[in-house]
Amino acid sequence: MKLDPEQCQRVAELARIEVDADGLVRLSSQLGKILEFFEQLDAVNTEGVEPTTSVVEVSGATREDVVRESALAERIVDAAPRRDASGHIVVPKIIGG
Amino acid sequence: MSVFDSIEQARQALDRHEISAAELTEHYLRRVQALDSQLGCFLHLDRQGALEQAELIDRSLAANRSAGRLAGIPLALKDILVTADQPTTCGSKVLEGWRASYDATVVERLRASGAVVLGKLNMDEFAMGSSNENSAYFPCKNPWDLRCVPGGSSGGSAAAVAADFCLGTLGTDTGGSIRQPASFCGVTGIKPTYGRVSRFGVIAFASSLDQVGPLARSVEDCAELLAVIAGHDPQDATTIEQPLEDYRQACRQPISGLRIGVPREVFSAGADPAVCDAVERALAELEQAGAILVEVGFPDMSRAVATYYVICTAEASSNLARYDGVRYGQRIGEDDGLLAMYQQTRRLLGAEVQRRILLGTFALSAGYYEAYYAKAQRVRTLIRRDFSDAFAACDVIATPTSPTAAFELGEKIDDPLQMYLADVFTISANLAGLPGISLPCGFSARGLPIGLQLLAKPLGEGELLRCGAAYQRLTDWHRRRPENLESDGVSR
Repeated sequence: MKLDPEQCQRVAELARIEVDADGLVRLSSQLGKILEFFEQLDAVNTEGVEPTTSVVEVSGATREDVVRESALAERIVDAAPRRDASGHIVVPKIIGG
Repeated sequence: MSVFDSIEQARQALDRHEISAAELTEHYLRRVQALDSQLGCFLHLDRQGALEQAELIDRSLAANRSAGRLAGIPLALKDILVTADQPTTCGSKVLEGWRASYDATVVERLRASGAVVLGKLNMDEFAMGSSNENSAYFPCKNPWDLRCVPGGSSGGSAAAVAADFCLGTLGTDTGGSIRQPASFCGVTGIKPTYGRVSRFGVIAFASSLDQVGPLARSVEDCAELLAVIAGHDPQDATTIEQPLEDYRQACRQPISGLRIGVPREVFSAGADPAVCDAVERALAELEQAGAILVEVGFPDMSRAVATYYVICTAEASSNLARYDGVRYGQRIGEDDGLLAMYQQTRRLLGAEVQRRILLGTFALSAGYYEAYYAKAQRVRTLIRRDFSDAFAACDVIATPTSPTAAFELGEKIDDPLQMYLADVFTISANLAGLPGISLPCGFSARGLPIGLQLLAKPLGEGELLRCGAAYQRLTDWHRRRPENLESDGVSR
């Protein structure tokens, strides 16, 4: 299908990516071509065919609930771009911002 | 120091104390430092860490303590595998400066077996690409011809092996990202069965397709590495519990009676004549060694490419939502509020990554989900059935790895769809979760390597190793080395 720059802008908003006007024109043409290529799948008869979500059978793996020491949480917070002294990740205001 | 042709050869020299792990490591570090400015394989070289690790191994070896089957063997890692002691960027600016909190399971297993990790290797950003030109840092080049791409996305992993920068590397393969660069650089690479190798600590691109595997100079070296990294991991629920077969043993099995399926119509229509000729010669040699060639069908390739790109972009759009400036790496624009922070931080993602996120977001969006994503998942089921039918008549399927030898830098970069079509032969194995291998099988008129791909049933790694090792006993393509790299005073 064709994708006009406005539709492309809508998708970019959903994906939280900022794209400028030139970018939208270029992307809508590139993405349109790729989406047209995807459309060959319309011609495939998939009546009654189950979708594949995984090629391996994943059943709920269970294990004993054992307490283990781990310093991982601390290190993960340390790797964040901004954190406070008490070990929290700091982000801009979420509500009313 | 003279060249080592295999991990086994280096292993013996180390065990006989003819060379120390530190000397071996120093040798490869020197080569990288002298020659990698031409190639761009390494995003990060850990000289100090590698030498310290090697010295530790030397103390174990000197005491004749068992130090593991890869003790003192210098290797390098695609920069998609997280490491606590080295940076991990995944080829992206968005992760610049970020340090992972732990080692990927495969890295942990390599280290536990004594391997020396030299550094982290160049790749297409977030493994999205077939040429390595999508690296946000610098493109990697093909050691056989510096005007050409090494393939992608594990381009640095393949080029580093071809350039003798180490004895083996790990890459990842979502649609051909181990096999295609292995083919372009004249090395051997294995994509294992989905679920055979842990993805814990592997930065996710398309979770139902991604798989880690080795690249090295030979099938036997790949088997050696696979034996270390493969197997169930409690940290990755998709890993298979079934015990590993003996991969080294598999390399020694004769191939008489092995049935090789050849989807000849498909590959002769899709590949360059020089590529077809090389593959045909390889098949004739295998037949002479006792293999039986049978004609088989193959999933429609154009349809497989479409299916693959719907699924991988959809999964990528979901996986890459996490690069929003909150928890990892770079953060931009936080003074302008949360939404601005997300949007501005994500501008750091490169053009191809943005394109794929947008495609995937579209394919998953309300009103289009059924027509694109759900449809592709159904066609995926049909592709798996095509393979089941083909494998009823054969043990492995042979095709070219790539329709062409390496192309030039810049040749396809402006046409994403053309770039996607470079993956026609490799993609369907990922959709079906099958193992595959690429073996050097000749050269183009321009002197660029050509690859033979073999695919097997799920958990059929042993059949691939059996056939691949037999082929490498019959031929010496895998022993050839690019000659245009050497400079004065740098030994191999």
